[in-house]
Amino acid sequence: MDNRNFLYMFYGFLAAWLIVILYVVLLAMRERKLRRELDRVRQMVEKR
Amino acid sequence: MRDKILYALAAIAAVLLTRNLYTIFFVLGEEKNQGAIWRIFEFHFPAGILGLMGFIVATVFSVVYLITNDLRYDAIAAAINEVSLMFAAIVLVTGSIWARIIWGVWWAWEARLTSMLICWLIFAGYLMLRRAIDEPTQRARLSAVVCIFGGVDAVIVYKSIEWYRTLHPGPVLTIRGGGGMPPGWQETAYWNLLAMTCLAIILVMVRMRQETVSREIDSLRRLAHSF
Amino acid sequence: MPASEQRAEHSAQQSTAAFRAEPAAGITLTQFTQLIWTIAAKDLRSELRTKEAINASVAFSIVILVLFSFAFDPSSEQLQEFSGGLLWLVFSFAGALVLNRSFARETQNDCLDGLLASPAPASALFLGKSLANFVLLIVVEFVSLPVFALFYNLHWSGQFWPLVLVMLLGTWALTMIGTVFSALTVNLRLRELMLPTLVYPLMIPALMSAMTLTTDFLSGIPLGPDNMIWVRLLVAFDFIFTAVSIAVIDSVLVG
Repeated sequence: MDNRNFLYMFYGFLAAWLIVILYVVLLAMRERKLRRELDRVRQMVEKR
Repeated sequence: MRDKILYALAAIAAVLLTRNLYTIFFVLGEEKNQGAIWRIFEFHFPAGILGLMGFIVATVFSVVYLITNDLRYDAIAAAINEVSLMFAAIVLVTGSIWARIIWGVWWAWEARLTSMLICWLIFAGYLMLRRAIDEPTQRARLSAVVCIFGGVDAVIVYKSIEWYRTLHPGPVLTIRGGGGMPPGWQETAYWNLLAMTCLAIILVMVRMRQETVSREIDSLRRLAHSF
Repeated sequence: MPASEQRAEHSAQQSTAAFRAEPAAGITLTQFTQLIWTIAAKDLRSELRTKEAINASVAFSIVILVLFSFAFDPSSEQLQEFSGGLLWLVFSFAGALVLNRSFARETQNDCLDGLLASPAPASALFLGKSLANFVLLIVVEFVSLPVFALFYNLHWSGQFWPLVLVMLLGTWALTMIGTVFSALTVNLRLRELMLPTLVYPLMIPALMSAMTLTTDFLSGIPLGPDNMIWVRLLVAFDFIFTAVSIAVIDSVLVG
């Protein structure tokens, strides 16, 4: 494989994957927050 | 059932992506002028398609929401917009890196990247608006309106900026009459499009479910406070 | 709200109250036009009594023009190349001030609820307000234009009528989108921030066309086959977004 500009290609791929991973992490964090909130609210309703 | 679909899609995406990465790095030939960097196109192009199509599809769902007032369509639109925003970000970043190599600058105000940037701004505004409204129905209604404006404008932006500036490497896909890339790259780009579409669908479904859960929380909270 | 506005509001409600006597099904085109005119007149009357928005807008545009003179060399010949761009930047920023107030001023004393409760269709309310905003913006623009030409040594009388055409078309685009988003953001926390953030990216095709045409006209280049495409884009933009705005305004205002 031609190695000219290899570094920038690597940066490019890295950037693309980083963005995807960041978004997945964001989704996971939101999921956890929602689950906690859901449990909390369910408990509140059950206490009635 | 839904989880099974998710896992199936994830498996397909994983297989395709592995195969594509192998193809991109080891099978495809050389491009004489750009060195290794052009391989990024295999991700840049599918991300562009997914981003733009996502925005348009979300606009359609927004119209459907305004007609039916069914909050599920709002959830779909919001999820698609968020995922498309991510793909648009990928387009901008990879395009910028590519531009650094080819044109020597990190950003050149050429037609397609500029249009994508404007779409990114419009739909980032959409997400910002959603965060600013707490009440679900009002949020759905107002963000649907913004999405409609955004979707219509996205089409206009694309056409008009093409007239305004023309520096982008001309259409390189053979369907539009371009050429000049090593053999096999176009096919790989479409395979990658398939893989990334699977990924997109997974992300949208996860995000959509989060919207539904969030609404369930809202209604439970209202129930809890109503006694 | 000040007594002058209350009187204007009262006279508007009296006019629309006349329609209560009519059967509820549909209104004629004449009635619709009259409603638009009534609402536009109300807004213009209350604005012209205080002249707050116009003064603030004109002052703001002059300040921006002065600021621009520090951003680059005002006497250079290259100024010709971006004169149109500068002018429309000024119009956009000053316009945002006027547009923000458009629905924001109705939130006091539940005036907006009063207007929505009247039998006037939401689209009439919207078009009336758009018309009023359009007039206000045009006034601000035609005051800023000579000041701009004075500060930066530009000849605006060469292609005057084409310039007027561009200003009318471009301002209508800005007004249309600005008024919809003013209605949309009226109840939001960060209203003053959300309005420009949402409006400016959407306006880019129209602003781009207006800027190109204005630069041409200020440099003396007439309207010809080269720049006709931008006029067509502006007209298409105006048509499309007027239609979209009227279609969605019910969802925005009434829900």
